[in-house]
Amino acid sequence: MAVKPPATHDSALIERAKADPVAFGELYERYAGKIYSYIYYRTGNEHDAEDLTARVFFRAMKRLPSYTDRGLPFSAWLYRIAHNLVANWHRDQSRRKIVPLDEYIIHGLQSEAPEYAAESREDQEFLLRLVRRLPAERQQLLILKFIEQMSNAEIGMVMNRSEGAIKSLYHRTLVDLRDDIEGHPKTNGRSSAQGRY
Amino acid sequence: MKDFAVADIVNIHAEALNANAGRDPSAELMAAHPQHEELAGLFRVAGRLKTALKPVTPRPEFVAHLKQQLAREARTLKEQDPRRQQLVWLTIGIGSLVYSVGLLTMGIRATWWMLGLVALLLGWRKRPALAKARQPVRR
Repeated sequence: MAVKPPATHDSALIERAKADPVAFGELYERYAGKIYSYIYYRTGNEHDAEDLTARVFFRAMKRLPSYTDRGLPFSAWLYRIAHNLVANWHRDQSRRKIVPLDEYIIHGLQSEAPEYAAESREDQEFLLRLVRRLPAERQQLLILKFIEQMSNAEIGMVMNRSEGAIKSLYHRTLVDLRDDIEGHPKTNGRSSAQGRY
Repeated sequence: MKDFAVADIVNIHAEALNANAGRDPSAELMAAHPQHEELAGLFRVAGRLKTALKPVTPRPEFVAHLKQQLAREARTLKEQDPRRQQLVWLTIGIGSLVYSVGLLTMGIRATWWMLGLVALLLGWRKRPALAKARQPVRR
């Protein structure tokens, strides 16, 4: 499902915010939830997600005067800032953390897909742990695809790749996850040895 | 070739999962592509991902607080901007003036030095003639 264009077009808001930084508030309100959600899944905890979300928007506001519209959605620019900050955050971490599954995430796992709703909490935790062990670009792809519900073309814009490359990366990610879940001997060692972030 | 076809199918499956939350498109797609046996496993992983990855909402207090902070920062940026521009132009002006004065001084000193050198060389050339002129005239 493609992301619906917002009521007032982003470019109009951006022009206003360039002239008057106070108008940046509207852009913030529009994207705060999405950026937070993205960072939350990449960091695995609320505290760092809030800290990094704040940094993303402060950086975006300061850099907005030099922002040029190259036909990419504004969200792609924000996701790139978020991606870079998360990458720096991971570099700064001395050891990797495990996703602490908050109550409300688990709560949200119910009802929408009944076929999979029967899965236990442990299974969900296990899966999210596997996702967080994937290389950064694959985590990004899964978050943008399933949480932000972006099309492959939109994900390609954010990740600076072609639609075909995204399609293929998604397929490879599924295959690796399936092998990890099934404890495939060929891929088990590889996935834990890969550079993650 | 086979991988491309499977990649296409799993992407269609993901889009269907996103579009029809609550309805599993797996059976339909597997029936349409019975030759790809691996689809069942991949669809299962995709379905589990769809279930596990849900949007997370930030705390409303955090959102409101950050908005206030951004507004404060925006006001500061707005106030700073004309002053910063003035400061930049003032710095450029002073810098240009100092550069010009320095260049002029260097030019004058270089010219003076060159003139001195020329004078010195001319003095050396005239020296034998002068020495001769100083000798007493014998009568």
